[in-house]
Order: sequence, then C-alpha cells, then structure tokens
Amino acid sequence: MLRKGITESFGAAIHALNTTKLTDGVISRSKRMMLDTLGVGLIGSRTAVFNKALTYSQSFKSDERSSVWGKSQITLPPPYAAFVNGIAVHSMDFDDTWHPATHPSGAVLPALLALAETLPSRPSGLDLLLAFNVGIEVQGRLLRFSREAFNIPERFHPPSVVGVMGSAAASAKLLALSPAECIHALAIAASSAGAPLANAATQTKPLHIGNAARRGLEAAQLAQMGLEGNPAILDIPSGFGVYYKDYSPSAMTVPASGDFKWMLEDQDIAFKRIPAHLGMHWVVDAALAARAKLENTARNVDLRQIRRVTLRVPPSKYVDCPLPATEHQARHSFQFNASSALLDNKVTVSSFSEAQINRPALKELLSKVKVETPKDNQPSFDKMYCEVEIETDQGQSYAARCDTFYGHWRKPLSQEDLVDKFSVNASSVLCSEGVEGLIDVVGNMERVRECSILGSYLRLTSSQQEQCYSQRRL
Amino acid sequence: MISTLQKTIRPVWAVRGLHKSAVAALKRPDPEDTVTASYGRFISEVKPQHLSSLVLHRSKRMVLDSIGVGLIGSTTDVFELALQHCQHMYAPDDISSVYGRRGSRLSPTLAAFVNGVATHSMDFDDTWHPATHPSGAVLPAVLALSDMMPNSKPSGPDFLLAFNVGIEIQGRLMRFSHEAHNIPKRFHPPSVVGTMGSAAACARLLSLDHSQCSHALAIAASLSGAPMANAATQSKPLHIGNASRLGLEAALLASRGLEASPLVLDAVAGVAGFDAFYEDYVPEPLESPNDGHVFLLEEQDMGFKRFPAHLGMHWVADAAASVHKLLVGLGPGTVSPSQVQRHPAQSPQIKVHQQAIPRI
Repeated sequence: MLRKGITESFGAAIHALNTTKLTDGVISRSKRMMLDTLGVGLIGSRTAVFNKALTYSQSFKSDERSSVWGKSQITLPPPYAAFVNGIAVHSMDFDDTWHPATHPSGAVLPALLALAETLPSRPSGLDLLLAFNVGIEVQGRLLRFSREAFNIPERFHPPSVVGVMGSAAASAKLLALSPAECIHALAIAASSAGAPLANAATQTKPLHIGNAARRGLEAAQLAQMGLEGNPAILDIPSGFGVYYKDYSPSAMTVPASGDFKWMLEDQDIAFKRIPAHLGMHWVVDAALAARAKLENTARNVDLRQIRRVTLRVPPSKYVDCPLPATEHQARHSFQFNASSALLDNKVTVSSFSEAQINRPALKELLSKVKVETPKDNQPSFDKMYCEVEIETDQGQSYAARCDTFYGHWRKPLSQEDLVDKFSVNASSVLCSEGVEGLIDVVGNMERVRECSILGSYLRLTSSQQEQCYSQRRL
Repeated sequence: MISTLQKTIRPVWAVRGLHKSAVAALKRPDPEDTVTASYGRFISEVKPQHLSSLVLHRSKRMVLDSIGVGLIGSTTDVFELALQHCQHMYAPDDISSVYGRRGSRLSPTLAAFVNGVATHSMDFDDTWHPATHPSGAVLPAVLALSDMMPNSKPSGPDFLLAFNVGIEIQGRLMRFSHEAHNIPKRFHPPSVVGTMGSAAACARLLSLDHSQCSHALAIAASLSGAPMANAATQSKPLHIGNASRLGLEAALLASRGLEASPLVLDAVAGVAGFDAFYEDYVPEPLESPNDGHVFLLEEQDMGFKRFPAHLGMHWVADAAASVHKLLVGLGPGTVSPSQVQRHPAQSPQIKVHQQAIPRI
C-alpha cells in the first residue's frame, strides 16, 4: 500500500488546529452559517420527513440525551438528535451551499451541538467555532481532490460523501482526539459515505445530511473507543477515492507558528432565499426580471397571454422536472420555480405546498415551458447562468438573464437580510425570546462560556409561553 | 448584474440547445413498468410455498453456519467494542437478543448491528458467487425484527422466507454488472448489496405493500457503499453490521411512509441510483414469484469456510496442505522452515491479500 502520508497529515492537522488559528474573517463567516443553519433547521422541524424520522428515533433509549431543535419536551440519544436535526436542516433544501458543491453546515452543526450537550468538559463558544470550522475545512479540502467535484453532481450526492467526513473531523476536534484517533475517525466515517443522487428530489434526500451528521459523530466516538480503520484511507484509490472518477489527494498542513489559511476565507458560501435547489435561484431571479419587463410595457399582466416560456439552463437531469408531483420534486424543478415566479411574482416557503403545486393556473403555465441547455452554460454553481424568455400571443418577447443571484457567494446576503431570514424561520416555531436569544448567542459566539446554552434557546417553542419566562438565564 | 437581451431578436445559438417540453413528460415509463417496481412487487407477493425443498435445505445450512460464526464472533475484541459503544451511547433495551450474551438486549437496529459485526468479525462467514457475504447482512436483522414484533411472532416458514428474500435480492442485484463477478476493488460488496438484502428481508417480514417494499430498497441505497480500503482492518466487520442495521432501518422507515426514488434500481442517465456503485450496470426486472421464478440459491450454492480467513486463503491453504502431504506423507510429520528454500505462490492478482508480513 503506497502511503503518501495524506491521511496522516489530516489527522495531525485536525489535532493541531486550535482557537488561536481562527481569524476574524472565518469567525464572522462561520457565525453567519451557524445562524442560517439553526433557522432552517427550526422551520424544518415542521416537515413530514422530520416527523417520520423523529417518531422512528424515539424508539431508542439512552442515558445521555440531546436536544431536538424546536421541541421543548423531546430529547434523543445524541446520534439520533444529530440525525433528526440534520434532517430538519436539509428538509426544505433551504440550507447553505458551497463551492465545490455541497451543503456543509447541516452535516456538522447538528452533530456538534448534540455532542456538546453531553460533554463533561462543557465546551465554550470558541471551542464550538473551532470544531465547526474544522468540519467545514475538511469538507472543502476533500472536494478539491477531484475535478468531478467541481460540477453539479451526477453519481453521489456530495453531502453524503464529504459531509460524513466533515462531521467526523469536527466531532473528533470537539472530543480532543489524538492524531491517530482522528485518522481512524476519518477512516471509519469513509465506510459510511456515499448515497446515490437518485434520492435527491425525494423525501429521503434530507436523510443524507442527517446520516452524515449522525454517522460522522459515531465514527469519532468509535475511534475514541479504539476502533481502527485504514490509516491510508485518503491516500489510496480504494479508499475515499472510490467516490470519484478522478482522484488526486493532497496533504493538509498547519504551520506551528503563523497563520492557517482557511478555505472559508477564500471561498464564501451561498445562502438561499428560496427553499429549493441552488440552481432554482438563478431561474427565479431571471423570471422575476423578465416578468418586470412584461409589467412595464403591458399595464395589466395577463399571464394567459403567454404563449411560451423558454428557460436556458445548464444541463442537470435531476433538476429538470417538467411536471413535479411532490414538494420534493418541485424544489428540484427549473420549470416549476420559473412558473411560480411568473405567476406569483415571488417564490417563498409556501410556494411548495401541495395546494400551490396543484393549482390549475400553474399547471397550465408549466405546459408552456420549454428547457434548453446551451453549450456555454456549464453545470457548475460557480459558472452557470439562467435566462428566461417569455413570448406572448401577440408575438412580443421579454427576456432576462441572471448570472449571479442575490445570496450567491459573489453577491452575499447582507447581515440584515440574513438575520431577517433567520427570524422568519425561527419564529415559525420559537417564541421571540428564543429567536432573539439565538441571534444574541450566535452573534457573540466567540465570547460565550458554554455553547450548550444554544440548546436551551432551541427548545423555547412558542406554544410554551410560560417557559419563555421561567427559563431565562444567561 | 442581470443583463438583458433585445426584445425581438432570439439568439441563434439557442436553437442548438436541447428542446424539451411538457409533452416529453408523457413519454416517461409507466411507473409500474420499472425494474424498481418489479422488485417491490416480488418482495410483497412471494410466499413460503414458493420456496423449493432444495432452497429450504441450503438456506437452513446458511442459517446454522451464520449463527455459529456469530456466536464465536461474540468473543472478539471488535464485537466487544461495538457492544460497549451501543450500550454506552444508547442504553440496554429489552427487545432484541445479542449473540452470546444472556443478559444483554438492545433495540432492534443496534442488535442487528452488533450481531452483524460478530458474524463477520473473524471473516468466518459464508461467501457466495458473485462475491459477497450474504447471510451476515440478513440474519441479524431478521432475528432482531422478529424479537420486536409484538403480537404475531413469525412462524418458521415466514422467517425462512424473509431470509431467502434477503439472499435472493442480493444475488439478483449482483448480476446487474460484470464488475460484481470479480473480486472487488472499489466498494466492499456486503456494504453495497448487503444493505439492500437486509431491507428486502425486513420488508418481507413486516409484510409491507409493494410500494413500501420499493421505497425500503431505495432508502437502503442511500445507506449503502463502503470502500475496500477498510477490508483487512478492524472496521471491516462493521460493513456487515451496518448493512444489517441500516437495511432494517430502511424497512422500518418505509413502514412509516418514508419515500425515496421510485427509479433507484433503474439506470437513469445523468442521475445515478444504485448504479452509482458500479462501472457497468444493466438492470433486469424480477419476474413474479408465480411466473416460474427460480431462486438463485437453487442454482448457485454457498461457500462455507473451514477456517476464519478470506475465502481466497482457502485455496492457498488447501494447496499448501497438499504439498505438505507430498513432503511428509499422511503421517504426523512436520516441515521445517529451514528445509524450504523458496515457495513461490501462484495466485490471482488481489492487492489487499498480498501482505508479505501482516502486522496484525
């Protein structure tokens, strides 16, 4: 077995990274990710898939218990808390997206919070920030081991490949495992990686993130108990390389003195404004702009006069769905999102309800939508664009193009809009004390004494008004 | 940064792109006609009377061998580690039995996990062709589930049926690719087909309807796949343990109504389903059990191990034993290492098995 020492370098790096290596830039960006993740997880706790997973998870007994976000009375064994909270985060496809493509935070934060609530060492906010960033960094590194990872996926759903590794690395960091144990945590996690893309656009997709969180946490715990895997797991093609057609790993080094260059500082993250696959954001922005042009010339927008709508998008089969039947398909449909935007002049959380999906007016508009995949439109979140062209019965044509939607890493959400998204999401489940408490704690995370206080706020549901007053503590 | 196009000019390059419309949606295959749906129907429709006496006989041998290797496997370090993990992170739960431990019971998926680990802990469990260790992924799950079923405990025939469904589904899936016929290089087969087999067996035992059976398989696909690099390490037995556990979990989630891809076994260009795990993949529908279906176990028997090591070692050991017989006859003689100048071994090219001096 040819060992190039890459896995070894990851184990050493995870162990060596400490809070002094965190920079202002990376702290600031990762706090935004944490806040957004908590918000989408809270609103996600209202979904059918979350409830199924919760009911299932409640059949397990344990002595140690961790919080379930958005539930005041229910706790679960830590791995299952990570499981259901991870599912909640990804349940509406509303969570953050990075480049190369994955949803990094949902695989890491639920595992860390579940773990933090049980550790006698009572980790601080800074400890949480460090472990979180380790989990994000490892994912970013692994995604750069192949060219395949730079495009919209076709085989394996990326969170299921790199997410579990990130969760294992983050958990290993929080557990303060030795370098050797960190190596084995990664190796054990690799045997839990890889779910096929076909389950995207279905109710099972959120489980990819839930399982990544859960099984990464378990991998770290098993490594702590002495379980071993292949110590060259990242080095060899029959290891982590099985998930990619081209695979070229490289080492991770942490300078003993001096700065560590976090990937998050170089490559920012995208936050979603719409609970749908990232590609939909381009098409919605373009559709809204085209609609605005139509509105400018015609005083009354009569959508029945639309003869045809042409979408020019990158080729990506799993988001090309002409007639979605479920909410999951609707979140993965260029056609649906463009049509919703044209019909309602907005696309929101409620656009994906069964009633909205089945509207006759929407179905009629869908029947007029045509998709084209121009050669210059590359299936990469860094390079793609979307064009929407409306043709009316009178032969008029209104078109618009979106290269970068608002919320993309090239055009980040303002802090105000990010907090606003969080507030709307969190308020669907928590009372205002909980909402504001979370904004406050996350905003000051690097100064927080015990990060497990997040759990208390995450349980302040709005149906328990008395609890809002009785559980007030700092 | 939203640029605009001229109102009336349609760019020429757009014509070169692919044209799709809602009409194309009508040309999709009938949902009932897919490979995935045929598997769901088979699992839900097959009955004990569809098992021939040869299949019953062979599968009973497998059950016996699997329990035996699981029991001796419960004396290993890795089993102890896995059991302690489950008891520490979760808690004892008075539902499903654990091999070799009178006082310990766990919740069903965790029992399936540790018993699966036990089964594969010494690499002593059965091996089939195409290559996988089929029983260890299925039996622990079916046993754990039986312990869990509250009022109507399954009968012997129901139990054997579920077991055979789990084996059959694994065999069928492995025949979808040529890659599966050779000793694996990328994914460890039990982690790929074992999870699916466990899901199928548990779906059968739970008497799920055909749609739920399909979804059980699809949910399981998202829980499949572990790289070969962890074979020949202490983590390998977890591949079987997890296959068993996660297949059971998939079936339980499907029984609660969780849904997944209805095309997971079919090959859809650009969106990989189960074919994500193989370089070549040609799926075939499974015929109805009433339509002259023959279980693969009828045609392809199982390999049982005489000693606890990878199957390939059995050829080498038998050949070496024959050489020993030639050197010292049938008596109790020994061969001294100093007498041996060289012993070149001719064997197939399998990287992971070429360990000149194994470390553990």
